[in-house]
Amino acid sequence: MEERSTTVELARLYPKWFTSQLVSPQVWSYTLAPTLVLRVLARSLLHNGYLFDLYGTHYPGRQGLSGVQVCWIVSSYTRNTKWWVVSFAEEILSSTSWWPSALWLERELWEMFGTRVEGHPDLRRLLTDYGFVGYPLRKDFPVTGYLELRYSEKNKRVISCPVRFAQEFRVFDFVSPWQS
Amino acid sequence: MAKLKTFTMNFGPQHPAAHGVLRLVLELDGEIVVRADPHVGLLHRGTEKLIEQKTYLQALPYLDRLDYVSMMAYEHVYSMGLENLLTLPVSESDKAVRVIFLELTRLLNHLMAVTTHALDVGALTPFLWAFEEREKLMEFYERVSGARMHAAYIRPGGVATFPDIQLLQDIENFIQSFPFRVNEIEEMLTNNRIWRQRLVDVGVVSLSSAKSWGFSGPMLRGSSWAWDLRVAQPYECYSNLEFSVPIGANGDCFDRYLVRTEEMRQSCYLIKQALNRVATTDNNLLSSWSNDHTQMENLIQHFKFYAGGGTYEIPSGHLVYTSAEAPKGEFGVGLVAASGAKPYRCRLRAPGFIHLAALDAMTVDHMIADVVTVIGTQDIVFGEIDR
Repeated sequence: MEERSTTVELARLYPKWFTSQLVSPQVWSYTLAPTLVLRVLARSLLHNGYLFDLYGTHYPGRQGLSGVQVCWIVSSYTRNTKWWVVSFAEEILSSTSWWPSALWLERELWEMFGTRVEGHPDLRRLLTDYGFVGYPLRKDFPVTGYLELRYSEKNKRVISCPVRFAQEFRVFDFVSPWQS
Repeated sequence: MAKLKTFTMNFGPQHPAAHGVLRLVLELDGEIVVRADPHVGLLHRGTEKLIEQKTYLQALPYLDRLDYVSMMAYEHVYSMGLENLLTLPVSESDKAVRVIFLELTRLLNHLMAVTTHALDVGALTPFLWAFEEREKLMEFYERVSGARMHAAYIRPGGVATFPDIQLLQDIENFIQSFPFRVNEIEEMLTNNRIWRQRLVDVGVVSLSSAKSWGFSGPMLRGSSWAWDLRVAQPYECYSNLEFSVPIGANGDCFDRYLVRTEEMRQSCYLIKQALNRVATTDNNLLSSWSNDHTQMENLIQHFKFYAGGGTYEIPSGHLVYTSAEAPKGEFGVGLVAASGAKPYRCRLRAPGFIHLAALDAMTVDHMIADVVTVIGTQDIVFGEIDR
């Protein structure tokens, strides 16, 4: 209950910053000004927040070009609560200056979704292979990828070449044809 | 005096002290670390992407393979996430069984963490002893689920099968003797001169920096902050169980070792209490199972439900984020539902990923040998970091 009340309080304290809230049972606060919200969560002694998690979700064709919904999860150890701040953004401002934990989380967000991070000191790929191209967690990226690695006897080294399938990629749909 | 040039050294990815496939690019000034740049992702399997292709139930075994030394802790968080999404109830006896296996998993993880750390620093014997105990723990896994490691035992809505009385009895016997095994490991390490020289005042993390780096679990408790989700936001039946949360005083590697050792003793204490709860709560799970499968129609119904991945009625666009105290720290699962039996997005927040991000800050100005100590104390496993 404590969790519910503190998160609703956030929208009451800063009414202009939030567009809507979704209760599920966590309270997801949608905002157009994530940087303002995050800064106040980090700096204000009332909130005393630390970045717990940061991730994106891709909704193709929604909310402009990128359609990436970014979600920051800020936890407070003193208040025993978490805040879920959600925003659609093609570009976000880095929060590394107040939360060093954002260093890798923002790198991962950029790498996986292509969301530009303004002011990040070290924006390099993190989880994908050296020289990887594409944003794998976007919905338009195929699960099989584009390139595969194999050892080439001719070149005496590992080379990458376009993926080839022995059979086509299958998606099983178990919905009964007799059901509508 | 001429300015000394630093030189760059590559560490791993096939180094035994790298605990898997960590490639570290170390910038060194003599033997002093100037910068440590972890290159991760050599075990990246795209688990988050794969889960989007699978139904909710098919995705469960992927969670075992994230942190392959604390398997059930991870599938448990996923199961809890799905229970939150569907508002599924879990029976009291199932909760007690979950706690038993979650704490056994914590033992499994901490035995590995403490003793491989000791191995990296130069003490082989505790490692051999601990792996004998791990063998027994994995036998419990095997007896309850059929698999020694990747159990897929904790399922959404409960557990796969209820453990029989003999197994519970054997767990009880194991728990009686296990604290002595912890004592033996402690006798070898805690007052060992070499162990102390390698760990005390190495990799010190102040409380404020531990918080701002987003640490959790023993990494945060080692820096003297008593934060444990089992106490702060209790789940399963932890609110009814008594245990204490050990914390460190100085935030160095030695304190984190002490925290992990004490947590093993507390886990034994928890398992003992949970075993009593299994005995006292009535378990109607087995009887309901046998009822389900005596009728042909029920069996067909059951088959169709599972073959379709469970025709769950989840409102599309529903978001749920669940986290719990895994042995390494707080593990979080964020689920976004779409219509149908497949999740639209599954976010996995691995504690090791967050901890490894701070490796640079923890090792700067340390000797190169201390890098190994810090990697050991972070208790990193690449299955979860790379995902």
